[in-house]
Amino acid sequence: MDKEVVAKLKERLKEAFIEAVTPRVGRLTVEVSKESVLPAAEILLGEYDVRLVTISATDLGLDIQLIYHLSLPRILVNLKTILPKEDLRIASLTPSVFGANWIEREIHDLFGVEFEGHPDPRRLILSYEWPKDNTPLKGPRKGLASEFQKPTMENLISTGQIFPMSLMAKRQRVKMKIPEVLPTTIANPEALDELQTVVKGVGFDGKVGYDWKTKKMRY
Amino acid sequence: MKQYAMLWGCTVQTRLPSIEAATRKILDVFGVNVLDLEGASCCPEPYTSALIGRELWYALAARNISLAESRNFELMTICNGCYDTLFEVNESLKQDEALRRRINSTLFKIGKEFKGSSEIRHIVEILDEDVGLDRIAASVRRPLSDLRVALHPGCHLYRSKTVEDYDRKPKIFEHLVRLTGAQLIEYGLEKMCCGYPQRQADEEMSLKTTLATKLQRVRESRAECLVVVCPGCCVQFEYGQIELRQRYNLDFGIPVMHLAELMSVALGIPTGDIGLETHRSPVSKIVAKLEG
Repeated sequence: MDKEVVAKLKERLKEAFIEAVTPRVGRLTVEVSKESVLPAAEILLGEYDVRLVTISATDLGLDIQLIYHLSLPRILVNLKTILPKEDLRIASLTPSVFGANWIEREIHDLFGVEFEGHPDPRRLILSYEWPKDNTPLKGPRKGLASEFQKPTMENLISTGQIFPMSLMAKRQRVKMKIPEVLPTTIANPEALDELQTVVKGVGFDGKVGYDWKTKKMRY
Repeated sequence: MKQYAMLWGCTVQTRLPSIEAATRKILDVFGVNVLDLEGASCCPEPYTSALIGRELWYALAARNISLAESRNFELMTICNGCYDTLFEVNESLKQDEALRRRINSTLFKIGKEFKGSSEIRHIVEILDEDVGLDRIAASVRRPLSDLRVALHPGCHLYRSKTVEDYDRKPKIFEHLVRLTGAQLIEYGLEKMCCGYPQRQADEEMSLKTTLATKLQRVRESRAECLVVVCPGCCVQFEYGQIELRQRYNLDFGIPVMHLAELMSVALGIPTGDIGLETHRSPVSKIVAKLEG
């Protein structure tokens, strides 16, 4: 059963399907991109007799993890996705499964997740006077690196060296009659590309929360 | 004479180029050929990446080692931090086949392979084993007999394959400084860490508890200069003294030099050629004394 579900999701979702693991008999955890949670749920709803058990939310520091617990005949499917805290929007499941209604409202109250297309996005468990930006179970965005470590990690990933090469250092080097810049990753784009491939290959960028666009940490 | 691939390290390249200039000069005097390692990256440093992402630490160090292996060179370093990373990764990957396979599966994607055919050598080992202490002693042109120096070997210089071997490199370091003619002054805290790694957890503790304690003992010993063999320690002692003065009103004013710089001076290389004036500690006081 689990193999059949995985095959169907893989075939229909293509690149949006991230991975699937079977922790034990009768359980299947499938990770998909946030854009594909609704399509994945709808594939299962169209193929099987599905009951939504609940949706759980966890603050991972940099991201919020949502798990949609779906009960299928003889198997429980945990449909997992990660929402970056910078953009906590995701399509609501409520129009497809009405049982998601109050669960999504509760997660919105406590974690600030915006369920787009929810037919009744009122507060559920927080009072109406509660400050709008105060989401009690969502902490500030933070990752593994300390303030002291962040520049080190940013420089390492973006240049391959942990300290930037300043103009003053270059001038001093020329005056000392040593090469202005050494042939390291700073001066060798192909070598830097290799290093960044390794960084991505071992998942270090995601682990420390590095943003490739800004070349800074996300926190 | 053997040829070596040199991993200069980030600190030397960007913050303490005078150490690189001095090292190039002394290796040139002794006919040791070094090749700047094309495409090398940070070793990577043993404090942050090793703690947060050990897999990345292994992979990037193995990549650097593979660059030397592909040219059939042994890898030389003048930095204790680089030595620690490269030594530990080299030995770990040689001994743990499963780990080597896993790291190589990452390196294969960029066309590299860790073979385990290279050794990692600290510059003090090369000066001792390849050049020879007698030859160095015979090359001293300007004995520094008027200079009282305190030593800081640095924690990672004690990294070794066997327990019995743990203080071999620190002893070589001491011999090399003696050969310059400088007077070695004991201050009792030689083996104490400079405090650089502690900065990640607690900067105040690193500066006030560790660094200031050590500097206080150096000052009490009446040593005129602190000699290190690690650029990371050098940065901690130099920039740390500035921070201690600015933040806590603790002024030590102790000059800090790398072994290669001290040896350059003893070999008669003009101090202006190696940029000693670029140091952030009062090394100019030492230069003035020696040249005055």
